[in-house]
Amino acid sequence: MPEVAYETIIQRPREAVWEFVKDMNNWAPFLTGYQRHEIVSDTDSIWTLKGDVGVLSRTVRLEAHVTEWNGPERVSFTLRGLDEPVEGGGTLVMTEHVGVSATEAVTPAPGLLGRMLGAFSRWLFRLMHGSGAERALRSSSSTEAARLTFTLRMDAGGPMAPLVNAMLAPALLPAAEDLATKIASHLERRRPAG
Amino acid sequence: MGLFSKWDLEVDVVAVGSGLGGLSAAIMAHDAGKRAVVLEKAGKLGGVCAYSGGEVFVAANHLQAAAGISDSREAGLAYLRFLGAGYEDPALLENLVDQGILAARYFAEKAGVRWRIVRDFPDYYHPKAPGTVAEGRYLEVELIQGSALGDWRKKTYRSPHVPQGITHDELFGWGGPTQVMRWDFATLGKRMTEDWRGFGPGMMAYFVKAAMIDRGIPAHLETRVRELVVEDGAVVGVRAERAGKPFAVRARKGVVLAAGGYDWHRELPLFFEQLPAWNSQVQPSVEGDAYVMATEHGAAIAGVPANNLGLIFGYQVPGEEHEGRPLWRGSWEGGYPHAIWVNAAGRRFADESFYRDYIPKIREWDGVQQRQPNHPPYLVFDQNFREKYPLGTFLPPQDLPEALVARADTLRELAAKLGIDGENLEATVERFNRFAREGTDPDFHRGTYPWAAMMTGDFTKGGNPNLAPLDKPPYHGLRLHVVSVGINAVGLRVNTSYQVLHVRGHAIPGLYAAGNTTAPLDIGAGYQSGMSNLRGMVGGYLAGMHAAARA
Repeated sequence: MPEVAYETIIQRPREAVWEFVKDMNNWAPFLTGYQRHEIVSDTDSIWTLKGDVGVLSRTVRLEAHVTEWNGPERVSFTLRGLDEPVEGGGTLVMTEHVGVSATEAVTPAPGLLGRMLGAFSRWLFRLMHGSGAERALRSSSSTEAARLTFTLRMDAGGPMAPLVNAMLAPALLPAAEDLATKIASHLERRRPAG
Repeated sequence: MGLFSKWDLEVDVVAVGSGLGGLSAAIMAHDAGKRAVVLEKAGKLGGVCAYSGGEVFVAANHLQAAAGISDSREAGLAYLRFLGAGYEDPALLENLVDQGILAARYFAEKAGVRWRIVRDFPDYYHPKAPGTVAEGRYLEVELIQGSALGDWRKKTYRSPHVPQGITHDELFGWGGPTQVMRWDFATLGKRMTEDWRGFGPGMMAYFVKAAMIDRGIPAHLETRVRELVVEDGAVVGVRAERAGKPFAVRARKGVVLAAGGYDWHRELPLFFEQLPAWNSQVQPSVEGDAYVMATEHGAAIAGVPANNLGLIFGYQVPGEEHEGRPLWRGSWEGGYPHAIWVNAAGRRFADESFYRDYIPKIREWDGVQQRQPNHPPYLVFDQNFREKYPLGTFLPPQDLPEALVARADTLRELAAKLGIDGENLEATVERFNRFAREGTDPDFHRGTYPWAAMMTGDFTKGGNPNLAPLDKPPYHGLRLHVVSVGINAVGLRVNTSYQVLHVRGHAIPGLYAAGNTTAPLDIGAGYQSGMSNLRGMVGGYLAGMHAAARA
């Protein structure tokens, strides 16, 4: 099962990161191909996404189940395709960080998922700071920062798994970057003065 | 100076469309020292050919001798005359066969198209029809990587209808369509990642490379040709739209209409194809534009019996789209073991393994009830099928979408869900099961055509590869629809140089057509896969040469 991890330093208290991330309604509509999501319970939600798979477009439903909800330190979740043999999961770990650093990959896994997580991290960074924040970050003397580590694993099941993974691969990176762009620009418009 | 002089571009030959017809014409004009341009309405190159299986049917082709295959022009003609059944134009048919041999060789030697023979793949009607052979007439291309297309890589169609990155030999070597569970998906995934292309997408990759990369022939995407420019009875250019603005292109030698058929035209399929509804697997850009712009200048149209060409059954998987519209998947499952097709009366009506039998029967007319009793068809299968075979991309044991497939513990309950006659369905299945256990189908002779058995049979089960009973509940079923693959019964009349004929009988100077845009008078009342790609290639090959040689 492919697994990747990405780590970034954000110049905001981890409580601030948590405040935004913990409510998926904040960012759900910005997912590429987002159709709808349904909150089933405190731990379960169902996501309907439409995206490119190979040379066609397909609507898929993913069930997300939170297995550990321990904010602002850690969230763990599983993913399961309701109509497709796809399973996965991941964790979001936030720790306090002293010092200043640009975003970096701890385990810059090669391939699609690494790039996808890179885009996710950049999005999260811009989410908290706006698009100009990374440059400001480099000259910042703030010590109030959070280290965010995101891990994700996904795997298609069944005999077609190698082909499905190969078809999904080219679609995920553009989707992740599209998400980052949309949310960043959205927040820039709503960024409070000062 | 002509009457119309505000040209945005001036060339010798304008190819309208970028399938085999358009690109072959552009290549031939270029190779004759003329300047060509390709105008493509869609956002990618390749046309309907890129959605096809990539088979080109060439009797007595130049690769057969080296492969040790015996064939002849005369045998090929005998078979195609059988298919034509008297509805073919003999001169056009002979021209197609003879020039097909030359065109295939030309594009191999001059344009780098790496043809290969699909091994052990028989003519449709082999061995029952005259002149058929057990192998050797289907050409396909060797795999090619998308990287060979440079900037055109993402602007050249791949197909949602055929496997990517494999050859026919690999497909059949893995057991064929019924044996998807045994396919080498690791290889398929690797080829997908590395963008290897075969079948129709591979074939068109070779032609795009030859035209756009190797020869530098310009192509304009999203450029819809609206009208022909005619002066003194001769076609001298086209008026197109590009990015919402007029784009006029002068054609000093000729315009080649190679824009496919009329699948997505609002009315033409209903007028010409004799079915109450029409659906298509091809790109939505195929709207019959060529018919409109040619007939308004007197071009003649002609047709053959509409019971014979590229039509299959199909269905839509909820949530699947392509090119912005719901995707039609082709269905061949009726010929698989443990499955049948029935009509609303609950009765079988054809050999489900051989679409040359069941497609004409879908149009059968009941003059008493004034309707087509076999339309629509229904696919019915049992749990044995579910446990062994795929339905499209749904492999066992993956659940089938409830919105697509009905399921019931008894045939009668299933019939009620599908809205078909339950009593008849029970009797039909009982009779079919008896045949299946005996291994023969006296009603429709299912499993007796080797080609059909390769496409829909299971050779691992022993006995008749297309027959096995429906005897394990639950039972499953779905209503099917007719789905076109872009090969129509009516088109523009052409002569043996692929000049478009006027309704008065003479050729319209400067106007040519190729492929599915042309009337299938060269093949008549029958069909054999690889014929449409052959018609496109030969039409473009001859039209491009003839136009380039015009004074």
